[in-house]
Parts: sequence; C-alpha cells; structure tokens
Amino acid sequence: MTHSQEGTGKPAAARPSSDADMESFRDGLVEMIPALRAFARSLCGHRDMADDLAQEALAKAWQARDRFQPGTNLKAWLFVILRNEFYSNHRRAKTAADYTAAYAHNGEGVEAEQHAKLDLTDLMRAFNLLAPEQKEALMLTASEFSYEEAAAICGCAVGTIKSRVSRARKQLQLLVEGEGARLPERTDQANDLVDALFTKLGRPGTEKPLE
Amino acid sequence: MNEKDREGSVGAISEHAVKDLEGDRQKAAPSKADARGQMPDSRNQRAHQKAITQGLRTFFDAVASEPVPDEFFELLKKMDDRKKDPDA
Repeated sequence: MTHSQEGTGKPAAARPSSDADMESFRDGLVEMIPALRAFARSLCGHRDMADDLAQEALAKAWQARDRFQPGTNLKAWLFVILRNEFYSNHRRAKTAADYTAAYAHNGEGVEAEQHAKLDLTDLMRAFNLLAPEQKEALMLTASEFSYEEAAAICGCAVGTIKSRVSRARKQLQLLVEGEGARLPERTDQANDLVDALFTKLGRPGTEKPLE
Repeated sequence: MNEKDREGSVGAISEHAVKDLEGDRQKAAPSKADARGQMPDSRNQRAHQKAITQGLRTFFDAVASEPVPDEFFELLKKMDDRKKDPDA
C-alpha cells in the first residue's frame, strides 16, 4: 500500500518565502488545529493519542512549510501529513489497542440514557471498529471533502474511496443493527469518541476534566 | 485488521435506528415503492447512509469545537522560538 503524497514526499523547487507568507502559513496552521484534532480523533479514537498525533502532524507541517504552495488547500495538505504520521506510528505501535491499554484508567461511567444519543454513541463505537482506511474514507467524505479530494488526500483512486465508503457504511449498519450483540464492551477508546458527542449535546456528567 | 471478514451480507435496515439518528428531519422509508419504482429498501438505504453521514459530521464538529489544549500553543511557541534561533 502506498501512502506517498503530493506535497509531503517530494521536495518542491525552492521558493523564496517571505515573512508575510510565513506569517499567513502560521495563522493557517492555528486555524486548522481543531480540524486536525477531529481528524486525528476519528483515526485513533483515543483522545490523548489523537492529540499527540495532531501535534506531530503540526510539527511536521512546520518543518515542511517551504513545500506548501500558497493558495492550495492547506487543510488537505495537513490531513495528508497527519495520516502519514498516523500510518507510520500505527505500524510502529502495532495497534492502537496497545496504546489504549496503557491508558486503561480513564473513561468509566459513560452511560447513555436517551435513545437518540444512545444510537449516536453506538454509531461511533461501531465506527471505531472499522479499518483505518475505512475510517478515513468515511470521515473525510462525511466532513467536507469530495470523493476526489478524499482520494487525493489518501493517495488512492477515487473508485477506491468510493468502495471503502460503501463497505464501511455497510459494516456500520451491521454493527449498529446488531443492537450491541456485535459491538464489544465499551472501551476507553470508544468512550473518548462519544465523550465529544456528549459534550456537544450538553449532557452533564460526562465532560472530561480539563487537562 | 482484516476488513474483508465482515463484508459479507447486509442485513435489513432498522427503521428506528435511522429515525433516532436523524431525529425528525429524516423520515423513515415508506412501506411502498416510490413513483420511480424504487423499492423501500433502496430508500431506506439512502436514509441510513444520510444518518451515518450526519452522525459522523456531528462527531467531527463536536471534536473540532472543543477548546484547543494548551500543548498545541506550547508547541507553536517552540516552533516560533526555533525559527528565531535556528540553532537552538
């Protein structure tokens, strides 16, 4: 499988970079931090691991700043870097589950009482079980990117993205319909995914303490 | 992770799951085929896909609207310092 990407792997011709360019690049990075965190969280599930990943991507992006072409899509460029980081870490660490096990102390006590929210949490628990390639295809296209843009970010063909999205949806459907039968016990990783939803939905008692 | 293992069959779509995910905005599929002759399953399928997309978008937006942790700003500051003094 290839994860080579335009903009990160190949050295671009050296361009004079003015202070103004650097300033706006840096502003762009700051602006993109929330989206980087969200993409990272959907790939690795675990909050701390995701934030580590987002920070690594941010640092890598800064190192590679001369290779960014002003006027092109900064978010897509950053997502390429983030997923490259994810896949290299992912291989190094074998599985995200190992990492999760190391953080097994937190995340107890998330109980959904309302059906609508229960189903959203089930959706995210199911999502967490998908292969990373399916997660990214699904999340990129669900968030704002077209199939073509998602394919460019993932370094694969548009048809590949389409089939990953389609297979991922089918799997989610199966998992969610299983009414818990196919979903494993709630894990910290899944809880981190649903905590974000609870916070968004304003449910009390599920917020993480500020770190 | 082997993604092919679980790909086999697609079960019937649970209507209440779709309704719950989409709230009142998304009607569950009607019991009869529509004017273009599409079967309920196909409409139901689309409703379910919309529900998934909506749910994932809600999740993405929820994380993106969290306050950015301080470590990110500390990292930015380090990058700024390094730029000023490349040898540091």
